[in-house]
Amino acid sequence: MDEFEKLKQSWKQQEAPETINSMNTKAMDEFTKLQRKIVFSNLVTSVGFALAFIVLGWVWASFPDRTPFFYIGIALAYLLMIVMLFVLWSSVKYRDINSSLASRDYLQQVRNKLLLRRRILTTYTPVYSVLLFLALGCYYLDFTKGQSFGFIASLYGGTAVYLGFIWLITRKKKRKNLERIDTLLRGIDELDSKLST
Amino acid sequence: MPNYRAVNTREQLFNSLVKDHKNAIYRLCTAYLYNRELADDLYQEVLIRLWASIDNYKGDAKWSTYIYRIAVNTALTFNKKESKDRNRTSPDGLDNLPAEATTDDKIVLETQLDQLHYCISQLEEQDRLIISMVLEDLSYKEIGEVLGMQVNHVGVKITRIKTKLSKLMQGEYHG
Repeated sequence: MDEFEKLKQSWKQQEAPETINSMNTKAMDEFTKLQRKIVFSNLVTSVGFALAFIVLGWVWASFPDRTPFFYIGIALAYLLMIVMLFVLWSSVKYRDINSSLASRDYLQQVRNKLLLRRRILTTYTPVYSVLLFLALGCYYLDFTKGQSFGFIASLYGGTAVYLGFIWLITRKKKRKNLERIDTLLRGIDELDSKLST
Repeated sequence: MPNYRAVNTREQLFNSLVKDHKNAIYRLCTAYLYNRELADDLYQEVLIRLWASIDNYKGDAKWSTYIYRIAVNTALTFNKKESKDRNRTSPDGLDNLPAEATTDDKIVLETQLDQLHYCISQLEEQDRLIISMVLEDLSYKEIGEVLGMQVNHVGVKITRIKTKLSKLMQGEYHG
């Protein structure tokens, strides 16, 4: 028997410690807990959105014959909420990446996922904020007709300041997330190139 | 080969898969991560992923290949979250050897395995996974299926890793 075969024999004598066997149930519980957590948080958001849907629907129905800005504003808000709900619920599937693919395909999938997350942070979130501002702006246009400049300025200014404040407090977190994503992307690329050479 | 079709529920299937593959999965985790605590965490993560992916099995590969893919892929991304320094810390002793081994045998085996673990930890991360599959007697074809690589490419890689490991082992014994 050559040296490597001897090593193989020794290697195979190692067994998973007894304490680790309870992890089967722990794994199942952990998975269920994670799923429940995501579903619960999505449900809370969905209920909030449902209330907003009802209120906006009521506003739409209760004030007939408004300007097109009124309808465009509400329709845009509806559209944004629907897109957000779709994104939220599509992430329910655990980790959303098929771990049973061959490693190089898996790494490609992880890479795409990371690039998508990067795009969400750098492009989609700012676009979402701008569209939200436009939706609110459109809606405001309907009832600010004939109002004083001060009122209009404070309404638009207040909304812009609010959105700016949100951007400001999430900026640090966003930068950190981007750094983490870039590090992961570099690691994935490095691994993939090493597997291919 | 065990008949996994005979089991009725998802839970039964999961438990029999774990029962048959737990030692191999655990060894892969310990080969990949030198730190035993992290290896335990990785093992737990592999089980969670297996439980989550069990319904995706289409039967186009052997269950063992399917499980190895999950284990290897989980390891590849798991390590990215952990500090490399923590991975390099020494294991807490090899207390997972068969109970029937006599004390002397156990000491010899422990020393040998300790050296092997240390030398494997000196390899590059993807090489640690490949060598652990070689040590489990997986064929080049199976390793290729797990990693998504051509069989001849796997062969070249394994020869390279074995040479490197053997040099490291010699350094450990005689250095």
